[in-house]
Amino acid sequence: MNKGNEKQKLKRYERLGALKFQKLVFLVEKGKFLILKKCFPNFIHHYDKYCDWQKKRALKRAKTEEERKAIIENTKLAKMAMRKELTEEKNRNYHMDPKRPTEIIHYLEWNKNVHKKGLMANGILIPIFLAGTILQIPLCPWLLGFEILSAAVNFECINIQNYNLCRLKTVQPALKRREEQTIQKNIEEFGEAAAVIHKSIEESESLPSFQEILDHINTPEQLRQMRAMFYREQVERQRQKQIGGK
Amino acid sequence: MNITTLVIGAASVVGIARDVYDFKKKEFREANVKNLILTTAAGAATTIAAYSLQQQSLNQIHEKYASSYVESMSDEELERALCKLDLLAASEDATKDVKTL
Repeated sequence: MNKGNEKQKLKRYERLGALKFQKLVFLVEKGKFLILKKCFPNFIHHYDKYCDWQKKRALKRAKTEEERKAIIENTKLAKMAMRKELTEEKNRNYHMDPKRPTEIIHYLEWNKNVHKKGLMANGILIPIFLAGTILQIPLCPWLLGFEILSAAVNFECINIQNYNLCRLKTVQPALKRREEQTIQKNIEEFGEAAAVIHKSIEESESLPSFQEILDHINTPEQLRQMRAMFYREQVERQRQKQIGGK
Repeated sequence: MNITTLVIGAASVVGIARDVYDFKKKEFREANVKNLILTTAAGAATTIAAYSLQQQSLNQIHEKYASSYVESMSDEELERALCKLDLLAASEDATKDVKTL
């Protein structure tokens, strides 16, 4: 019965244009990364500064040592996540990480809430600008047009998130199992090297350089695991490029 | 270790000893001995399980940060990192060979 309901929901979302809009989203995403890399080569430097500014603000409000630690760690994770997005040219809100497939569910929910709030704002502004247009107030027709377009985009974004969430929730248990198996395998193969990297990140104010990580290697096994980890990443990227046809 | 902890610890040991051994009759209370062994074994198992879980959580945190770091490196940074790792491995091998000679 549940599967039948899910199929009906998916058909509804498709009828409302989920798949077609998704193609447009991917096209815009491609353009975004092209512009970022060509016109804003120092983007990551400015993003790091923005993260540090947010961190300072959050640290002022933090009451416990645990909160402070969490804020510092989340800032480092955010910086790494943005670098990953730029390297792969894939927005984490739109693409599933094969190593952590259930992570995207959180991003989809977050993205959906952003667009929900946007749609609510559109719902308030459209009548205001409509009234302004009727009263022939300057600029109101343009603003009305903009808000209607914005509402359409917000609606389609919510629709596409619902579509993807519906698809993922049906396979979530299998994805979770796959994720746990991948993580367990990584721990067995690269556990010692991972501990070295984590220690370097913890000790560093921001993100450590690779030389700082090398300086923390103490045993031949840590070196062997680290080489294996990096080689595997390189092979995986080459495989992804071949699949993507880059 | 503070004095309170020492006092509580000493009192616990004395209490258990009195529970397990009858000082007047100068013999062990069998049933209480068995209970003590079972309780100690259960306590040890719980401690080991808690330690394993904690270690597993720590391993998962390490794995998450390490994966994030490696995935955040650009292709050029990854290539340079691999060169440095290969050089370090080669120098380790050379040091081993010298020691063997």
